[in-house]
Order: sequence, then structure tokens, then C-alpha cells
Amino acid sequence: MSVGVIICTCGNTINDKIDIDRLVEFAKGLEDVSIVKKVDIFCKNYDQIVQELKGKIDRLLFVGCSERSSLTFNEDKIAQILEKIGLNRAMFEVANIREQCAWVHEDRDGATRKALDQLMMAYVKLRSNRPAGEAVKLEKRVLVVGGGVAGMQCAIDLAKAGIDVVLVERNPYLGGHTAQIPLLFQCEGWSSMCTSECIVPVIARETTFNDRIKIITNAEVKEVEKVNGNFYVTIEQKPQFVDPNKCVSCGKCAEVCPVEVPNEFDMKFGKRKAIDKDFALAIPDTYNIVDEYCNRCGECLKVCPTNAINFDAKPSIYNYKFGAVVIATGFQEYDLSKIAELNYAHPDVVTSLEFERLLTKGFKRPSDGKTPESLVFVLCSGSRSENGDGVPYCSKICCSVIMKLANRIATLFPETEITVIYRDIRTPAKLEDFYKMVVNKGVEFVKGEVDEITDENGKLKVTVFKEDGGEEEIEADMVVLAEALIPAGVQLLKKFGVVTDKFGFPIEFQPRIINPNETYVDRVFVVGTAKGPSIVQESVESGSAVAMRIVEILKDGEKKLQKFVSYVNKDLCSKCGICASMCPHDAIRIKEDGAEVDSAFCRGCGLCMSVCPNHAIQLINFEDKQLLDQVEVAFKHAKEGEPRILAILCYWCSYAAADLMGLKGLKLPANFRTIRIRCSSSVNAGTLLEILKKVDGVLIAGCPPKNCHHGWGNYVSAKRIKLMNEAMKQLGINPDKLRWEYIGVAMWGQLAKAIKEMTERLRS
Amino acid sequence: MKVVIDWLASCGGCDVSILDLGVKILDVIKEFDIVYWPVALDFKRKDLKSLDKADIAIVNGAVRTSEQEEQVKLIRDKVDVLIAYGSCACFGGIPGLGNQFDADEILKRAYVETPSTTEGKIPQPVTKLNDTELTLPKFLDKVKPLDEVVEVDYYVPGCPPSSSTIEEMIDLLLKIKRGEKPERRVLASDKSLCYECPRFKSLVRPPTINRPHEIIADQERCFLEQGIICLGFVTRGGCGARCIKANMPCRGCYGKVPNAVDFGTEAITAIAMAGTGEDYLPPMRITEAVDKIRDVVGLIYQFCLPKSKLGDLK
Repeated sequence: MSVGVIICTCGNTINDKIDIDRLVEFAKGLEDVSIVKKVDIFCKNYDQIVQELKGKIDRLLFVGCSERSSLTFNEDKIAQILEKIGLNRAMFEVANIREQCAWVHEDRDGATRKALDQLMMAYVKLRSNRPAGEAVKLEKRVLVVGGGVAGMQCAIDLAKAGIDVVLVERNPYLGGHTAQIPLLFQCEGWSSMCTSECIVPVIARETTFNDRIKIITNAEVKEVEKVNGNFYVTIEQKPQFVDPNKCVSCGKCAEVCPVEVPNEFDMKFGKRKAIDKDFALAIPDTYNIVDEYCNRCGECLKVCPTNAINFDAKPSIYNYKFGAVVIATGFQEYDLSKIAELNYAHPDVVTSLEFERLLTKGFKRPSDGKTPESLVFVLCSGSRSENGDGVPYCSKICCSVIMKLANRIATLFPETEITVIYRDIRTPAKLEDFYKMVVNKGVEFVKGEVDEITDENGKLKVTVFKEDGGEEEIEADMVVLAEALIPAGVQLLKKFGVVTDKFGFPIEFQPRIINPNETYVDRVFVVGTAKGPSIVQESVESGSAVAMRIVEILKDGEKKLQKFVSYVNKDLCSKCGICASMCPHDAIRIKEDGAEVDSAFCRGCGLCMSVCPNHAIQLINFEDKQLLDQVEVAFKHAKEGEPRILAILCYWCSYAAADLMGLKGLKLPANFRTIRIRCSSSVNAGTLLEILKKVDGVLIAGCPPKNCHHGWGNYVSAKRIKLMNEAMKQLGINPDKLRWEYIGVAMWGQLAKAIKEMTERLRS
Repeated sequence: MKVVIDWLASCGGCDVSILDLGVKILDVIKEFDIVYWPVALDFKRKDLKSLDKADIAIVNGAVRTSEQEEQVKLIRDKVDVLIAYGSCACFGGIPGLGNQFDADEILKRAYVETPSTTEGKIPQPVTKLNDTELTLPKFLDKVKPLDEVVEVDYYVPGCPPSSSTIEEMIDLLLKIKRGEKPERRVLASDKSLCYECPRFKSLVRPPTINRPHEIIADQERCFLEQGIICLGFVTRGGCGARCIKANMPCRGCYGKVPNAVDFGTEAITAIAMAGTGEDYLPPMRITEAVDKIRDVVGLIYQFCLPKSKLGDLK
């Protein structure tokens, strides 16, 4: 072993606060340290030193600024330096003597002592670090589930970048809900629309014509197995009774077919034949048979000019290996029959999507085919529900959709009395123009909530509790409900192990702001309305954006494993499965001989390690033993008499807050030491216990609520410490010795307060 | 080969478990000479004292009084092999929960403060009655597992040990008789109970914690996933999952799995997983799933408080 130590004075600014020469001498005396360099501004002048270190060291210890928060030399920069020196990316540690030492302590002696300890802690850990594993080969093929606009756009962009795509669509056609909506928003500051009858064929043709895209319609994902970083997926396609390679869409079969069936594409307003096309412009341009209705009379066989029909067709099974997955399964309408007062069972009460389809047949009400003279739109039908009927969130697009539809009726049928019942109008950004147009056309707006919709002798009566306290009854020939949108692919997400919110939308990887569309499962992305309600244009955007991310991920056909991944010692594993239930990233499988971590899916949070009662799982480069080794030396130079407090801080939020304490100029006594761990929840309570024996107090801090990078790590940690404190109280042990805090990056003040408070309490 | 069987701070269940062997006990008697077994046969302490030597002692119960301490030391002196039998002997067991309090507190509670007591009196080690001095053993300050008093050769955990574990012990006795010295010192599995548990798992976090009276447990599914605290994951198996099969969660009587640092804290680690939808809760309610636990120590150290390393922090 040959350790190189670089001690940076940060332009001689650290020297005032810390006796750097003492650190240098100390480092020189450490076993296996072959080079110690004192440098002034390493971040700006490293080339020569890097050359000197090449081939001479196998581990690098950097003593200087924070690897988490430094603006010039954080871990990303260090990774570059390691590559230049030719070291494995796991072979470094940082002793943070700037942010968390020089900047936060005033007493030079205390700061120097702490710097020596932090150096030693980093050193002992570095000595036992293991190199990050070999890269895992990833299949350069992507599965896109859902052939709507988002899925197609993503597939097209991937294919153009040279990546093979398998696109699985449940329907016999591409286009999803977009194909059902005749007029789509396109907004450039004025209200304009484009037709799906142009958009969908254009994008669907582009998808179909690309040789890299294999389209499987009428199909769904049956099984998913994750092995060695790849997804092994079984796709089942329903029997293709009409061979798409022979069918020329002449329509002769449908002409002779005696069986009429409801056309789901037209919602409840259209019929088709058992053999037919769902809509004229459907792509793939082929007819299909609705199996459950076809009576196999054989009339179609007689007229088909290309012999494309085969009643004996069997389901097909496809097995593929993928390196990444895109979920583009779109939305479904909330089932409004669950909300009794909306009277959705009435034929003349329809959803907005149904109304879109109805209008393609003419503005005629379903019950008797008469053109309505009065029309009521009800916004928030199932959305923003406070009483549990429906969903509590805003479905985002429905106000705009209703404005579009109201505008259309007001323009084409100006005599129609149109009323919009609303709670708030939310037509964001440029869509506001649609609202203005409707207002200008004299449409009436009633602010309130629907009490009931009743049928009074063939006329609908909508009773509204108005916001001003009054009640209003509005007569209507027809009612259109702006239905809430809910996700459609919940079962599929489960197959991939994706964590969802309670409505079934995937939770994106924290920090979501810079990881949009990325789920908690590595390389499973979500686009379009599967992620949440969005207009078509936004869905297309997300498809393109994700394609770009995937291109970057798959460009080398491999994934470099990170420094931190879990592994299982199967001799110690009892297959209790607790690790797998704790894993937020679905990286653990329970096999016949024990639990197994798939390193390429592991995000290195250590939650599994923390819950394993027999310590069978360890997080490489964050092992229990490494932590305990660090604790062993953490207070070697500390002054006697002050409580020794160890702050165990999560990798993301809390450690950064500790850096900011110094940056923001707070001053603290130098009696505490910090260890940066992966997740606040990666420390097992048994290990905590061992730590508690060696120090006076332990502070554990993790991300604030709703912000944990590993789903529930902070919550589990909070509960764990609460139970520990409870047990300590019962056993007559001072519970102040162990404290939990939610500390976000900006909560540096709170962190300082917690450390001070602990010091005070433990001092007395 | 001479065998001593004795009980210390114990409920008597351990002795009964040996008797529960039924006719198999006749095989034991065939092979071994039971020279002391006060629960089953009429032996007095003087019989033990007068014994020159025995080969094996099977001792159940923990050490709670000075008399028990003396007794186990006496036994240790007489035998070559000492077996701690049952959870109390191995880890302190249920009496070990008394270690949350000191001796005075316990005596005061038991003899003075209980609601059914009037004018209670704490028994004294020495009481003068007329001209006689009556003595009682001293109530020690802490309950001790046997190995805190004497050297223990083998551990047979369980409250009481299950019949399969007892059979293993008889096997052990026979091996000792043949002059072997088996290396396996704990007569239980090195794997946790989950390893032999027949229940199925969906591999999800327990959505909440249900107290046993709050739900009717599904007989097929992992208790923990139903929110019923089952400590099988941290407990050695080998018991045959008898509680689990009777639809009762594991309470940990076989002690911690070998590589666990401490039974209770390891148990806490996983119990703290319970909960769901915390993102939707106000911060004050985030821990509510575990707040339902009324007696944390009683739960996590039901059979092993004297062995608690958390307790050592005091």
C-alpha cells in the first residue's frame, strides 16, 4: 500500500486557523504514507503534482476543502484527478479541514486537534477501502412501454442516436389518447391548435419506418427479471388474426362482417365491426379482429384479397434484454361513477374525453341525438377532492381542455347556453388565452361546487352550491365533466419495482428537480402522462428529454459501478428478506441460497446493511468496521473534559449543512467530529450502540421530510432513534447521548444549534 | 454417567419440558444416572453437597438470589460439563426484565405497592422470631444469566426449549458420554427463524404496527409484513417455528443470531422500518407507526435484557 497525502492550505488561508505543518509532520509519520505534499491552491495547480503521483501511489488522501460542498474541488473534480493519476475511483478519502474545521472553529489549538483527528479518520478508512468493481455490460436496447406520443418520440430519438428500441403498445394502434383528441394545444402566446389527424400519423409513421424500432402492438409486458444490470422482459402479444404484412386496409372484410361491436376508441359513442380498423388513420395500417366478439363466420376470409386473415393465429411471446426502460403508459380517466352526485350513469352526462369523441360524430346528445341547447361543464370532477371522492391533486390540464371545448361549441353553435362550474380556473402560462377567448364569447361562469345532477323530465338540472353561499340550479341538455386523470400503468410499475406515490405516479429520484423522469429504479424512466397530467406537447418534450439521458447512459454499453455498492455474505444470510423490503431501489433479490444485490441497480444507500440483523449485508467502502475504525480514532487528539460528540451526517443534505455552518460564519466549539455516511439510515442500531460506547454523544442527521434520496431512509432513521431513546430512558440511560435531526442543506443553523445543545446537555 | 438437573430463578416450565419428552425420557434414564433433580425427585441440597462428583449438569433458570448464585457455583464445582438450559439460564429470560429496576424498587413494588397489598412489608434477609433467627437468601441487585456467574459449556435456548432442541441435547449428552467434545456450543440454528419460517413474504415494509389485539393475523403471511412485530428475523431458529405455526409471532426466546451485536438494538433497526406514506404526514406524525409500541424494552429484550449491550451504556 502506498498512500499519497495532499494537504492544501487553500492559498495560505487555512494556516491561520490550523497548524498545517503539524498536520504535514503527522501525515508523514503514518504507516504506508509514501508522499506528503503541502500545496497552496491544489484545485488550480494540480497538473505537476498529478504527474509526480502517477505510478507512485495507490491511494489518495486529500486534506483540504469539503468533497461535498467545495465549489472548486468536490468529489466530481477529485474523480477526474484520480483518473489522471490512474487510480480506481474508490481509492480516495477527504479530510475536510476547511469548511468543517478552519472555518467553523476559532480556537487554533482545538481546530488543529480536530484536523488531526479528521485526517486520521479519513486515513483509516482509506486504508480499508476496496476498489470499485468492474463495469457491468448493459444491453444497448431500450424498452418503451406505451405507444402514445411520449413513447413514440422517445423511441424515435433513441433510434436516431443508434439505439435499438422495442416499443410495446397495448392497443392495436399507436397514438394513445392523443389520437382520440381531435384538436391539440399548441401555444406560442396566442391560442392555436393542431389536429391529431396530422400529428399522430406523422409521428407514428416516423416510428414505424425506423428500422431500429421494433413495434409490438396488442401486447403487454408479462414478466420482468433484473439480472446483472439488465432487464429481461417477456412480452406477450395477442394473436394477430390479420397479418399486418399482408393486409392492405381495403376494408372489404369490415363491409361483409355481420358483427357490430362497441368501438373503444370512440369511447361509448361509436361502433365498429368485429374485424375493422379502430380509426381510419390508425398506424400500423392494418385491420384487426376483436376476438371476444368475432363468431368466426368466415365471411371476411372469402373477400380478403391478400389472404391476410388467419383465425388460427396464436399469441406470440417475445423475450428481450434491455439496458434501460421507459414507462410511457399514459393516464386513465378517474371512474366518475364513484361520485354519486355527478350522476355519471346518465347518458347525457359525459367526460371531456368522451365529449371529444362525441363531437367527431356531431354535437348531438347521446340520449336522443338532439343538439343540446344548453351545456354545462363541471370542472374538478374528481380532482382536488377533499372528501376522498376522487383524487386530492389538480389534474392540471382539464381547465384548459374545457376552455378549448367551450370555445369550440361557442364558436360553432353560438346559440348554445354554456355554463362552466368551477372552483378556480387554472389555465397555466400561454393556455390562459383559451380562457380569455371563452370569457369574451359570453360563456357564463359559476363559482361553486356541484351538489347534485338530476334528471327532471328529460332535462338535466345541475344544483350548485355557490361560493357566495347561495344555491343555483342550472338546467342543461347535456353535462360535460372534466374528469380527474389517474395513472394507467400502476401494475407495470410494480413489475419494475418502481416506488410510486399513493396515487400510483412514480416518485422521481431525489433531487427530483435535477433528475426529472428518473424513477427510484436505476435506468427506469417515466415520460408523458404516466408521470403526471400534461398536455401533448409536454409529453413529447419529456420523451425527447429522456431519450437524451438514455443515450448518455448507454453510449458505452456499460455501467461503471459506483464506489458504494452492497454485497451479501450468504453464509450469514437467513433469507429473512428484510433487506429487500427496505431497498428503495429494488436492487435485491432473495435467491435460494440467500439475498443477492444486483450491483448495477444498487444506489449504495446502505439501507439494506442497516436492517440486516446478522450483518450479512455490507456496503462496500462504508462497512460497519470502517465506521467503527473511524470512531476509534475520532477523538484521539481531542481536549479532555469536553463531551465528545460524533455527528453522523447523511451524504446529501446534512453533511452539506455542516459545510455551510463554516461557510456562513458560524463558530462552534471543536468538540465534535463528523462522519459522512450514505444515508442517515445506513447505520445499523447495533453498530450505533458500539459507537455510543466510544463517544459521549451521537448526533444523526438526515434529509428533511419529503427529501430523502432513498425514499424512506430519513423516516426510518427518525423512528429508529426514537425507539432507541425510548429504550434508553427505560433503562436509565441518558437519552441525550443519541439524537436525531432532520437537517436540510439550508438548515446549517439548526445543525449548529443541535450540536451546541448536545454539548451543553452532556456537559452537565 | 451422572447427571445433575437443577432449577434456579425459573418458572418450572423447563423441567416440565424435559418431562414432556414422554417415553423418550426412559432412554435417557437408561444411559444416564440422574443423581440430582429436585423438581422431579426428592432431593435436598445436602444430597448435592454430599455428591463427590457428577459429569454433566443441566441447569435452568437465571441467578436472582444469593442462594442461586451459591448453588450454581456448587454445581459447577461438581461437574465437568455445565449446560445452560432454557432462556433464563442462557440470557436471563423473563426474570431478566427485572433488570430495568434495582432490587429495592422491585421488592417495594412486589411487597408494598401492589394495589392488593395493605401494610406490606419487605422480606428481610434476617428476621428474629422469639429466639430464633430466620434467614432468607439475599435478593441480588440484578438477574444474571449463568455465564455471568460460572463458566457455561453449552447453551440450550428456548422458553422452554422445543422438543427437537431437547432431542439435540440428548444427542449432545450421548456424545459427551462417548468422550466427544462437540464444538457447537449453542444448540440452535446459526440462521434466523425466518430461514425455517413457512410463511410467505411480499418483501414490503410493514405498513404500520398493529398490536396483537388489533387485527386477525393472516396465517400464511409474514407477521412483520402484516405489521405484527415478530422477532424471528433477529432470533436463532431451531425451535421448529412452533409459535409461528400456532399463529403467534416470535418473541425471541432462542436469543440473537450469532453475528448480531445486540438483540434489542438489532430488533429496533428493523421494527423502525414500519410505516407508509410518511411523505403525506406532518413531521410530528412521521414516527406514529412505532409510537404505538407501549413498552419498548419489554418487547425487544423479552428474554435477554441481562445480555443487553444497550443496558451496558449505563
